[in-house]
Amino acid sequence: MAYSFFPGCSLDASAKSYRTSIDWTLDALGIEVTELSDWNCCGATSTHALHTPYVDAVPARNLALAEAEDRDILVACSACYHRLQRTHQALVEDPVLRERMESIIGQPLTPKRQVYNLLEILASDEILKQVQQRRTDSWKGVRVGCYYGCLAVRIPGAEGFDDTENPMSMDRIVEAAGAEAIDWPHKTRCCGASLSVTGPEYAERLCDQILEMAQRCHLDLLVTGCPFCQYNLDVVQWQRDSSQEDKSIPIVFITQFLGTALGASFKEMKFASNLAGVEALKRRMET
Amino acid sequence: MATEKRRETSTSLLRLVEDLSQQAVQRCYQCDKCATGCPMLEQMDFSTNQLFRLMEIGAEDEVLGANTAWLCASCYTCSVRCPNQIDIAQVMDVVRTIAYERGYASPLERFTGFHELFLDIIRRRGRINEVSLMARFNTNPLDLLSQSKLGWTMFRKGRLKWPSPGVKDRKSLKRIFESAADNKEDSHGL
Repeated sequence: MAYSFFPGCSLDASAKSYRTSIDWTLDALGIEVTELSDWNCCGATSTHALHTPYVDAVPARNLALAEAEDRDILVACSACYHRLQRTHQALVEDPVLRERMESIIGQPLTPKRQVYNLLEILASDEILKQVQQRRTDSWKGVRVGCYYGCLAVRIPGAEGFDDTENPMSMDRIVEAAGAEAIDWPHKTRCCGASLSVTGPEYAERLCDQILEMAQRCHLDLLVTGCPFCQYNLDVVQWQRDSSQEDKSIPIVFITQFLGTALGASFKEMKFASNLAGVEALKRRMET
Repeated sequence: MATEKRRETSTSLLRLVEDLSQQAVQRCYQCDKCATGCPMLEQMDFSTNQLFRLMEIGAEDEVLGANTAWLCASCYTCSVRCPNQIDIAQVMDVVRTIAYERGYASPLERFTGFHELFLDIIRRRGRINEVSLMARFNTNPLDLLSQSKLGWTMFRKGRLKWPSPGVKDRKSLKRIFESAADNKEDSHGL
């Protein structure tokens, strides 16, 4: 099944390594995607933060584009996924809203196409089996903390593709890729998201709590599917003074991790663009 | 029905918030579950459930003047845990929007400037370019300087891109913002 891929704004720049590793990994796994044509920003976090009247209209344009392409949408960024999925759900449940959105967008919104998160596609039985069969030993013995953050798994009122309190999709991917997925308490703890710009001291505190717990659980690295989480946890560690360097925990995109397991090189997965702890990780992998 | 009856006597802010958020704030029975799981609780003037109570008794100025909604990180922990299925984070979005439109200042100095700029870029280009967003946001030379080391590192690491394409069909964007804005005036009356 082919998907319309919704990259979102970060994947072109600060999360470029996510995009590169997604393209490589999906290709390797035979998951067919085409970028959603002329997509627009999902609105996160500014539409809901301060401009709630636009909160559904902005993502709805993308849903209409996918309808026109007659494909389901695949979303990698947790924030984009949250906004698109919430609007999709609201349109299914509320015919009055749907009518209003159709008149605003000027296109029909049936909405029969679904919105999928990358994690749920990668954690399907068929893909996991393929990964188990094809993986290398790159991550053997590595203790991985799966960091889901907030927005991929917490969509109020929705069934969701994973558990809101103890999600396991990424854990299953990590295990299939040959590493040890460690059960740890801060899987779904908030990194502060855009507070890192508007109230950095608050976001830093939240990031520190997550990183401290990762230390206490002796995790070698964290994997994430969210550009916000990756950026916040990566930058907070980069900003510490260099004496803290040995305490750094690499924050790795799930597809960088999976691609490596499937035989991609560190260079192909753009590990050099990560900020914290990557040199140490590289040394460890090479020995 | 009980809820409807209580609604008649409810305060205007409460009614407005319930209407705009489509959430039944009055279903809150103060179990404190939202507050317990809130990662920002320690920094908040009132917890989310306290804010609900203040709304119910009509303490509008306290509700709109509190830092609670501004500090909400929108993590949705409360929303998925609420035993009364109140999407609390969505209520916070609406309280914050109302406070902003009524001229209450954000306790986070950079909050409204950032989100106004962000929305303006979506309105004009349809997509965010992180370089132009941060360059326009950090217009103070001191901010720029403090950000420049990070900026340089991000550049060196291949994590900056400028320029980047916007949405081609600008007309459809314009239409969204114009009609949604009309709609806002019709229904919100903030």
